[in-house]
Amino acid sequence: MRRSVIFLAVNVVVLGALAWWLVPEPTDRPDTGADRVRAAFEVQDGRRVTGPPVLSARKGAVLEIQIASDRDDELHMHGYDRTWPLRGGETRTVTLVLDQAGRFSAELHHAGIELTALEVRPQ
Amino acid sequence: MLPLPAVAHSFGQVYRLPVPVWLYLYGACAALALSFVVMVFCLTADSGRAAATPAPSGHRLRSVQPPLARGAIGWGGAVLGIGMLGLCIASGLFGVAGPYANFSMTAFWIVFLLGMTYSVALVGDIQVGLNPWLGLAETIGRFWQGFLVGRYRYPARLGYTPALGFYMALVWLELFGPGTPFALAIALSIYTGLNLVGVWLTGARDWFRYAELFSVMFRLLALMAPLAWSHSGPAHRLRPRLRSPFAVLREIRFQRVSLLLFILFMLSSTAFDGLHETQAWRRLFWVELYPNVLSGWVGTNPVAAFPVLLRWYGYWQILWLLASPFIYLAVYVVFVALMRGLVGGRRSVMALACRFAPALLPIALAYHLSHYYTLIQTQAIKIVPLASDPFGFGWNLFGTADWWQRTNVPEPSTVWHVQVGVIVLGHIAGVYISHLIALDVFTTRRHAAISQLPMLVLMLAFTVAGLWILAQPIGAS
Repeated sequence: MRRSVIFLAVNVVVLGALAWWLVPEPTDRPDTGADRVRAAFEVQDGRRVTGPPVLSARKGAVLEIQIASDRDDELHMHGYDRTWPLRGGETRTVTLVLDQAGRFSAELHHAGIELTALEVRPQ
Repeated sequence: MLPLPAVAHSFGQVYRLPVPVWLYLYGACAALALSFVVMVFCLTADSGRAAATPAPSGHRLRSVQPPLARGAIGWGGAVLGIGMLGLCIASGLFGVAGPYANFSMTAFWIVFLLGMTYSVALVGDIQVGLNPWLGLAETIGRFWQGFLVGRYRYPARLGYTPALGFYMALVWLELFGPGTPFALAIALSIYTGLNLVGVWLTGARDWFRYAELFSVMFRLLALMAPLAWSHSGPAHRLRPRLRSPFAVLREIRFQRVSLLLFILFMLSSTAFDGLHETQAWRRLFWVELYPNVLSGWVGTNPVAAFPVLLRWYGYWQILWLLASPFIYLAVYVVFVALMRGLVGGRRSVMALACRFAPALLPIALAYHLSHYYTLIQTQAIKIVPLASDPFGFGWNLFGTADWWQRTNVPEPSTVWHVQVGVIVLGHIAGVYISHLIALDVFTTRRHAAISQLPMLVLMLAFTVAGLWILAQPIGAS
């Protein structure tokens, strides 16, 4: 019993020492990323022609994306569970406040593709 | 909602972000430092047994042989299990095609596969009572004399190979299958048919001991549970009792290389699932292999070559998935041979490899938990609304069809800490169990200590590799 307590105590000390050494200092600036993240996409024949495959942002930022699709479609941002209808031949701008951290897929429902992946880092 | 063929890692959205570099380093350093703490603790312990002392075998037979008598849950469990399997197949065949709107996908992949994995590791082998294929076989056996006995003797040389084969098929279906409820229903129907034919041929006892995937997998995971179920008391009722998982894993004997491969596939398939989503893995094929090697066959115009390359990429991935347990076996055997070279002894390398295999189980469970546990939070709760509308026809049988519709996204920083913590804990448990086994296997404490140096390096390699995969940027589709 005594040995087990000593064993546990040594483990806690080792983990604590490592934490002191490796855990980064919390920054004074809560948000070092951009306040507004913009990207433009072009979709033809159900495939992304232009636009980044991954978008990175920090929690709290505002996402603003422009999508030009040659067909009617629907954009679905997983996790946020927001959808926007898209009309063929028109450019649509959608905005989203990134209040949830994580990795989310932006999917075009009718084309059945991932338009981009949105990575929102925690503050 | 349509499935995302190029994106879906299996079923269920995983919202995880790569673990930050400092946390990855913390996990790796913690694994290294705590390994030495465990080593010193074991070296100075009084409880080590000499090799000549036979290990008590209390857990042995009960743990590796499934009781065919109805377990803790009785016939109600069999009815529930068969009913759920039937509903999965029916909703897959006749329900809507959307995987998230159909009961079958969440019920099988999340509630049954993930839920049962964590349940048996926590409360012991309860799956025996719920296993639908065992329940079905027993039900048929009540009306068909001799069905459960089998017509032929189970071929001993097969060992656990059928279970390993089914496991590989399951992971293939999970990662590269069509990802539709219909395909799942077909796969479950075929698996049910194969099980019934297998029982008819070889008998229920051997089939569920060696060949039925979920019996083998959940029985292995249940070895780590702090609870065991046994008949006791005047009424001879099945009751739980507390036990030390470390003692069980120290004493259990795995005799078959096929079971060792099965355990290694538990590790390697989870690692592969994580690895094949990373940018590094995708670059290996598309940026390194294609221009430098494959362009000679498919041409240098990437647009023209894309359809062929995409098909080859599929074969390439399946090849690595199927090869992964054998690669892990080769690495593991090299380290066991090193151990044997350092301390000698009469046992063969393969016998030692099997003897130390239980130490890999906590690492396999830790890998699994760190990769998939968030799906319990995000997808398992959806079974409540789906129960009211299993076919996706718009029913509301129990009035729960509208419950918990909002996505419950886990906080990434919490997920990171749980992932790293679980992997480090699994590593420590593995190192500790390996030391305990060494104290039983080798004649002196000194030999036991020396023998563990290669094992320590191997387990660190497994742990750091697991953490590295978690820290890798995830690739775009």
